[in-house]
Amino acid sequence: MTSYGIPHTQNEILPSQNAVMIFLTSFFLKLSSLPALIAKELDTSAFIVIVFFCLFELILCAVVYFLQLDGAKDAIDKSRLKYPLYALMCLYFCAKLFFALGFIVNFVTNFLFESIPLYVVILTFMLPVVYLGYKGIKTIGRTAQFFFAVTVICLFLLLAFLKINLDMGRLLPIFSKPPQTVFESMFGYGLWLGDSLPLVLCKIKRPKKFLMPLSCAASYGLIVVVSMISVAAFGSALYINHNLFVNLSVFNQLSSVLGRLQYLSIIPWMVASIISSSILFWSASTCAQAFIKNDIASKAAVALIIVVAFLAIGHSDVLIDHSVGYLGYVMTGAIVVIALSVLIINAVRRKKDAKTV
Amino acid sequence: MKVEIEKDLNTLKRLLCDSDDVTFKTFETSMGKSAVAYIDGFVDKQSLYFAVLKCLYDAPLSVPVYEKLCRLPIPESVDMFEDLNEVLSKVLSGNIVLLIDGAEGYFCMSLKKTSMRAISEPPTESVIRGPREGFIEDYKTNITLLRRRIKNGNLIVSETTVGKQTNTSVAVCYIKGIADEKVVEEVKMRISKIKIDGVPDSYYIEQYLSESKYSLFNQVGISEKPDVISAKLLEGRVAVIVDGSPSVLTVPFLLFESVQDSYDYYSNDWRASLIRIFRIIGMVLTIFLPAVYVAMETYHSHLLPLKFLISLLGATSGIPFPPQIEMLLVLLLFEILNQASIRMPRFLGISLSIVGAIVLGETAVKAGLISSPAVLIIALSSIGIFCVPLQLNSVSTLRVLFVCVASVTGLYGVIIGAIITVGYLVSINCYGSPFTAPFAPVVTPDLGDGFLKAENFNQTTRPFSIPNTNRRRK
Repeated sequence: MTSYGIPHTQNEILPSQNAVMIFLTSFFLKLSSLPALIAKELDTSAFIVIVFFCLFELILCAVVYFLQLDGAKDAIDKSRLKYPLYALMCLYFCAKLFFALGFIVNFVTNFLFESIPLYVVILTFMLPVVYLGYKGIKTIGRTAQFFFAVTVICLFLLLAFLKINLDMGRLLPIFSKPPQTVFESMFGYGLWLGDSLPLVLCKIKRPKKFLMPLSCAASYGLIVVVSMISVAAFGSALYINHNLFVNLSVFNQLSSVLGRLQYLSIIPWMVASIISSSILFWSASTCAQAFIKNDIASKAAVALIIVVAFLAIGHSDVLIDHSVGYLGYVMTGAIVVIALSVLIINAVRRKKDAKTV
Repeated sequence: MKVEIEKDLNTLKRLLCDSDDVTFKTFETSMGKSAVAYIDGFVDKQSLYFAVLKCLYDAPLSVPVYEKLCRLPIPESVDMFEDLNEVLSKVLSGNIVLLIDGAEGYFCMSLKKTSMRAISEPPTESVIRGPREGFIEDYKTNITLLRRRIKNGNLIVSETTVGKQTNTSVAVCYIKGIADEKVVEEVKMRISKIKIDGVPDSYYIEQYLSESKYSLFNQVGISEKPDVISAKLLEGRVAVIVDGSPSVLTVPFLLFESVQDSYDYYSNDWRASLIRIFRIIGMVLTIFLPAVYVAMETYHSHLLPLKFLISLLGATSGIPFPPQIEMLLVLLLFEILNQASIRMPRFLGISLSIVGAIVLGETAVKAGLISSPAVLIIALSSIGIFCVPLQLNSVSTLRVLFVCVASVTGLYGVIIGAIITVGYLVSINCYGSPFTAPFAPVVTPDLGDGFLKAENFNQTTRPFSIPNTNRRRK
C-alpha cells in the first residue's frame, strides 16, 4: 500500500500506454533488420510477408488485449500449469531479448562506433533496460508515452520529406518465389513475431473501447506503408539495408539543410529498441519470479544470464546468422503455444468463477 | 499557584542565562508590585505603556486583572499561563509577559513591532503584466497576503513550530473542500516528524516534503508571489509558509509546473503557448546542446551538414584540447564567473561581467585556447538555464553529466542517459500524483494547460493530475 492508502498497482497500465508500447515495439522489430533479411531470401515477396506478419500481429494483439482485460496473469498464477508455462514464457522472452540485443549491438558497432568493445555496448545498453525493467511496466509505459511525441515527430519529418524514386512496379511480382515457398519460409522469421505477447502479464486499467483497435491498426498500417515504400524504393536491393529505417533517412529533402538525417532516425530507433528490450526484460524477470521468489534476485538473474551469454558468444554476427530458420519456427511455435495456453487457462478460470457465483 | 515577583523573575533570568537582550522591568500599579519581561526591539513600547500599563494604574481594584486585560482593545489577545517554561518560550517568541504579585498566573500579550522588508517584486519572478507584490520574510505578512487574495473561510491556516533551537513558525495553508485531506494530513505529518535544530530557510522543510530525498530534481513547488500560490491553492495544492523565508512551498508538484509561469495566465493563449514551447526548447537545449556538440564533433561528425562541418572544422582547428576537455573547460569557466558574479558586490559585478565575457572569452578564443563554437554553445545553453528557474540546479547538473557521458559514449550514451533520466522522472510519484503528468501518463483534461495553453475561461476543471476533492472550478 502507498502512504495514501491506495493499493500498489504496479502491473496495471493505461490503454494508451499499452498502445504506445505496441507501436514502439512493432516499429523497432519490424522496420529495422527484418525487411532486409526477408528480401535476402524471398526478394520482393518481403512485402507480402510483412503484410501477413502484421495480420498475425493484429490477431495476437486482440487475443492479448482480451487476456489483459481479464487479468490473465492471476489465472496463470492460480493454475496448475503455472510453472511449465512460466518456464516456457521466461525462456521465450529471454531468447527474444538475447537475439534483439544481437541486432542492436550489430547496429551500434557498425554504424555509431567502429572500434568499440562489445562489452561496452552491451553493458551500457543493458543499463536503461535493467533500470526500466526494475522500475516495472508502469514506468516503461510512461517512458514510452514520454518519447512517443518525439518518435512521431521524427517519423513525420522522415517520411513527409522523403525524396526517393518510388516505383510501385518494384513490388511486383508479389510472389517472386512460389507461394508455398514464401509461406514455408515466412515462419522462419518467428523471432520478429509476438510484439504484444509480453504485455499479457499486465492488466489494463480503465479500458477504452476504440483506442486499442485503432492504435494497433495504425501501428501495423504504418509498418505496411513503410515496407511498401522501401520495396518500391529499393526493389531487389532491399537486402543491403541492414537497418531499413535508418537507411531511409538518407533520402530526405531536409538532408541538404540539416545534414545527414540519420540522427533523426537513430533517436526514435534507439528509444524504441530500449523500450522493447525493457518490456522483454520485465516480462522475462516477472516469469522468473515464479521460481525465484525475490523480485530483485529474479531481475538480477535474468540480466546476468543475458549479459554473460552475450559476452560468452563474443560476436553479434553469430546471432544474426542463426536468427532465421529453425529458431524462427521454434519461436513461432512458442508464441502459438503460449497464447493458446493462456487462453485456455483463462477460459477455465472464467468457467470456475461463473460456477462460484 | 500565586505569582511571586522576585522569585519568578530570578527563575526567568536563570533560565535565560542572564541574557542582556531581555528586559525585566519592575513597577508599582494599583494591583501592587508588577513586572514585565520582553525582548527589546520586538515590542511596541508605546502601546505597552499607553494601552496596557496606563489602564492598570487607573483601573479600580474590584475588577480581576485578567478580565481587565481582556477588555482592552489592544492587545488583540491575552493568555494566562501557570508554567514558567511556557512563559519563557512566549518571551522568546516576541511576546510581553506581565507578572503581578499574588496573581493566579502570568499574563502573556502580543504587541509585536518588528522591522521588516517592504513588500516588493521578487527579483527571480519578474513579470511584464500581473501583480508585482512578493512574499517577505515575515510569515504573518505572507499569510495576510494570501488572505487578501482568497477571502474565503475555507482557507485554512494550520500553524506549528519546527526546530528544537529556533522554534520557527511554519504554516500549512489549504482550501478546505478543494485540497485532498490525505495530502494535507501527509504534509502535516511530515512536518511534525522533522527533528532538526533550526530552519534558516524554507529549503530545510522542502527536503522533508520531497518524495525522493536524494533526487536531483526539485519535487516541491516554490514561489515568492502570492498570486501564484493562491492560484495553486485553488487547484487543490497545499502551501507551506516558513517564518524567515520569502519562498513559499507547494505540494503536490509536477515537473511541468517548472515550465509554467504566472505570465502565461495573464497573456493570451497564443502567446502563452508559444513561450511555453520556447521555454521547453530552451531547457532541452541547455541540457543536451553541449553534449550533442561534443558527441558530434568527437564521434559522429559524418552526421553534420557539410557546410556546417567545414565552418566547424575551420573554427576548431588549432585548438590544443579535445572537444570534451574544451567543453568542460568552458563550462567550468562559466560556473566560476556565475558564482563570482552572484557573490560580488553589485558595482563590482558589472566590471566582472566585462572581464568575464569580453576579456576572458574573447582573449581565450583569440589565443586559440578555446574555439568560438564552444563559447557560443555554452552561452546559449547558459541562457537557456534561466528559462526554467525552478529546475536550475537539476538542469545545470545534467548538462555537465551529459557532456561527460557524450565524451565517452557519444550520441549513443546521450540517448541512453536521456532514457534513464526520463525513466527516473516518470517513476516519481509526488503525493499520489505522477511527477510527469499530464504527459506520462496522459491526463487528457489537463492537456489544456500543457504545451499549448487554453484560455483561462476554458479551464473549467481543476487539474485531474493532482488529488483534489472538487473538480469543478465554477
